[in-house]
Amino acid sequence: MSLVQPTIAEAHILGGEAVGFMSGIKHPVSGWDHIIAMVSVGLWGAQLSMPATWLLPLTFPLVMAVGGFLGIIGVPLPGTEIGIALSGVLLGTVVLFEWRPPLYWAAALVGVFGLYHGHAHGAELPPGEDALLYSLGFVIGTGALHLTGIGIGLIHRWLWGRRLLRLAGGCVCAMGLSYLWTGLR
Amino acid sequence: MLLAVNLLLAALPASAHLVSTGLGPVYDGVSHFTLTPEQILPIVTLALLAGLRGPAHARRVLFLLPPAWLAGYLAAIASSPALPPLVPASALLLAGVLLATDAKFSPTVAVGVAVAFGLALGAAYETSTDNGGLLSAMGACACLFVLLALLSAVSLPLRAHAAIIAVRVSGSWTAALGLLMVGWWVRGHA
Repeated sequence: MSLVQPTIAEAHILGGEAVGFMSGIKHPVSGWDHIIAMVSVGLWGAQLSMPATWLLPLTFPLVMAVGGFLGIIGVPLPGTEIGIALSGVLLGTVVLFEWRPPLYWAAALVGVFGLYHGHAHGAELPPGEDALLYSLGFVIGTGALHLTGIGIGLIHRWLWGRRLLRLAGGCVCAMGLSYLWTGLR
Repeated sequence: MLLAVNLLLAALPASAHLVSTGLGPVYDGVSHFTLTPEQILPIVTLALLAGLRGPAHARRVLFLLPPAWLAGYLAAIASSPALPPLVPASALLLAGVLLATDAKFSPTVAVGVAVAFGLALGAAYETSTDNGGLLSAMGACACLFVLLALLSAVSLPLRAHAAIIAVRVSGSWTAALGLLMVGWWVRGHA
């Protein structure tokens, strides 16, 4: 009788929550289309210098959370994959040409793409995870990618660094075009 | 005999919600609070905001929020319907927005904000525990007070632009987290 009475397995007592947090951290770095766009936001912010350096990474997670919210509650956003691919193309292009629009234009551009990335993440969220820890990991993972971009962007103070950044922008643009081609086929 | 042995070996209910330290209800409350991110994150955010706003604001928050939290806890015990998880999620969202925008309050509004957050989070804490009792809540409240004091003291002397920006960016991340939590709640109730 004892054998057939199931007991609560406690070998992984915080398993669900730990999986939620780690899944959340890993989600933003699970695809190169997301990685290149988010790192590019940091690179562009570093190129534009203050206050864009902090304003863009502040805008992106907030707008991305709005997209994530829409994705979670099931509101459709047409052309998500195309939008994500375009974010790579356009963010790579602005880094390549070191484009310096007014700050609100830069924030709006980054915000629009944040909406697409957030929606894709929100729509793909796995059921049964710990919501808070998953979301916490997700936001930290996204922020870490921006900080990586800003950190790399610090080389902008040197001439060779500026050239390298523009080259990186070109590579991001090429990768974005590749994703766009795949998305349109 | 076999039946008695079987009952002894049967699984006990899992006490997942109230962490038992073996040190009594006060420490159980402390450990439960420190292991509940839904409670800690809004408090951390409000403490950082209080420090950014200056000593007078920080003092108000420090001495008003913990009693309001306890009052919210007691009010939730007295009222039967459980608080929906939307409340702590919304508190997280709102606290994050306030910090990200570096919201500037008059002293009266600061008092109102501290009391409102205290009541909401205290009531939410009661909903998340399994009859921990007043002593457990007092332990959690003491922990909240210490956390508020320490973190507002961290952000109070910040003058460097980059440091203030870093704190505000953490507010935007908290707001993003709160918004996602609200989304999870909406999806669960759709």
